[in-house]
Amino acid sequence: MTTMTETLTATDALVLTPPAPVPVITAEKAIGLVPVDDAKRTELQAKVDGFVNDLVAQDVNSPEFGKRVDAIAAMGQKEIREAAGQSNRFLDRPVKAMDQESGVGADLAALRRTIEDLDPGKKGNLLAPQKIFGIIPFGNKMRNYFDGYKSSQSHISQILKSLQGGKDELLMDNAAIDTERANLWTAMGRLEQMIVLAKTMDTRLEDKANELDHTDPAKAKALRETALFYVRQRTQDLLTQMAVTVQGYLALDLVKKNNVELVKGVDRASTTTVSALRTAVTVAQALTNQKLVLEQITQLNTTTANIIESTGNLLKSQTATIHEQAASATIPIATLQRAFQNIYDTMDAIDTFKLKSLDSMKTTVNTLSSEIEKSKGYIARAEGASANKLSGANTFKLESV
Amino acid sequence: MTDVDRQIARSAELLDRTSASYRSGLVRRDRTQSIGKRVTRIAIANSAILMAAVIIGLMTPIGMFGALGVMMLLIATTVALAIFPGTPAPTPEKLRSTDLKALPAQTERWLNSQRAALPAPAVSLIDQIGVRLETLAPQLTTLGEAEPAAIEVRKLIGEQLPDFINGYTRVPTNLRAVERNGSSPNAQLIEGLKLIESEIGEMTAQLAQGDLDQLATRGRFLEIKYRGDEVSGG
Repeated sequence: MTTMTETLTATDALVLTPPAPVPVITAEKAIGLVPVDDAKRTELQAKVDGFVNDLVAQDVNSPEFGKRVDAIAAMGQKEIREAAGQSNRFLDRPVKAMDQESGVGADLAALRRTIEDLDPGKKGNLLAPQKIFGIIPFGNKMRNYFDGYKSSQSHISQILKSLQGGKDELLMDNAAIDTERANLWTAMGRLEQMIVLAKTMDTRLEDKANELDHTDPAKAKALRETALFYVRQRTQDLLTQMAVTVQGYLALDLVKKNNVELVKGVDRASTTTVSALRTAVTVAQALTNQKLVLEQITQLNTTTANIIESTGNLLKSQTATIHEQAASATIPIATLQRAFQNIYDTMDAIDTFKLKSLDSMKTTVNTLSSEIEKSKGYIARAEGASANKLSGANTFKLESV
Repeated sequence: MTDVDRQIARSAELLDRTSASYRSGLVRRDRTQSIGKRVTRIAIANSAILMAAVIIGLMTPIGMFGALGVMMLLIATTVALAIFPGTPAPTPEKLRSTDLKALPAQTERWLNSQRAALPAPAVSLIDQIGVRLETLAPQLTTLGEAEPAAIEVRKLIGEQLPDFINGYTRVPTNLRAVERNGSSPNAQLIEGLKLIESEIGEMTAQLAQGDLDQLATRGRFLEIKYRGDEVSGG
């Protein structure tokens, strides 16, 4: 018996690896993740040089000087707003993935219940003759058992169809994540450019202030107290937003990996179920000479097997073994029992996976939420700075290229 | 899209906008619309008069002079309706209460009515804003009135734009070119209109963002599902 069941289980070790939670990304680590190419770097540096020279040429008390300092205070505000708008959206996704009560989770639970009803292990000794009141022999237990399949087939095929729909939803989710990640990547590129710009501005202003210390100490002081102060403040804001965005980017990857694993699980659950039903058909034939016709399952089987290549291959090899075993062995019930065990194994693997991934998801969501919370303060300041936007500081706008 | 591409696209757009054929197209379309409207109005009025004449004629014969009177009335109505201007341009107050879907068209009509009061460079900017508004209009049809984006759009094209232009027209003509605090009202008008124009463009881009994302997502889904881009690779 062991040799027989082994052939069935040989292909069957389903391992679903939950992705590790996303660690906290510090602002320092977030820099340089998205490279800024040299041409852009030079362009940004030229922009800063022009701006600083222009700023130093102005009289410290003139409105023109003030306008340029305002431009520094508003620096990167558009990029931060853009990235923040997206970072608020990533919280929706991990939370949605944790939802157990709908979609694939609910379908799997329904499938499990239906399969448990059909489990031959729960029906007692099927080979024993059936007796009314335990005395009068009446009917055939085995026949009754296989009749159960006929009544469940439409239910099972419905659940399997719905699982396929759920799988499509997961894939769609992953496609949406890919789009979002592409958007985030662009946003991070722009943030990175602004960080380069801000850091260059910092050094240039510092140099200028040091230069002016001897010739025009008042101007040097003004540069340090206004322009340089804002530059440093904005650099910090940009770095914070960058860290949050990187964290969200990685969190999305986690959700995506999670979905990929779940899709694997769904595929396997469908395969093992269909395979168990096929085994039942063969076993019914061998044991009771009963021709068990499961039309709906056969239909579903051909359509899905064509779409999912792995399912098709697995089913083909398994069917051959099942037929062989059922025909030759004296214990086909054990084969059927094994087929059911396969479904249970798959579902247990999915459940364990879900529990573990739930943990990493929770950790990730928590770190992400606290980071977003931190960055909100900076965003509020950026919004405040945008209030004087219409005043026409247009020409000195400091933006990524 | 690289910056060069974007710049080229912008220039091409600018050429389109400013080309004479485009502008004449706009005006022509406007005129054919208003002529159509007038003809229908005349037809309705005339048929009403004829109907009334027939009904009165059935009750009491109206005679030769009656028929003559009806004819005179017909001519008078036709002439009056043909000369009388079409629907007047909406006032800024009316713009505030206009339905969001109709707002871009109404704002455009109001802008066109302001043309005469504005200097030449501003007029070409008004044309550009008109083009932007036309792109924006179909996007607003699916937008709910209470959404934040809708409120922003309403504020900009329903309130801030008319207020800004009204603020300019209130300045006496001889002061408009006079420099004050390093800038003149004329320059401020151009600067502000440019800002509004780019802001409407930005809004269009923002509103399109969702659709762009959805398209990219659907394309990606097809790749994942039918080319197995990801599931097999794990």
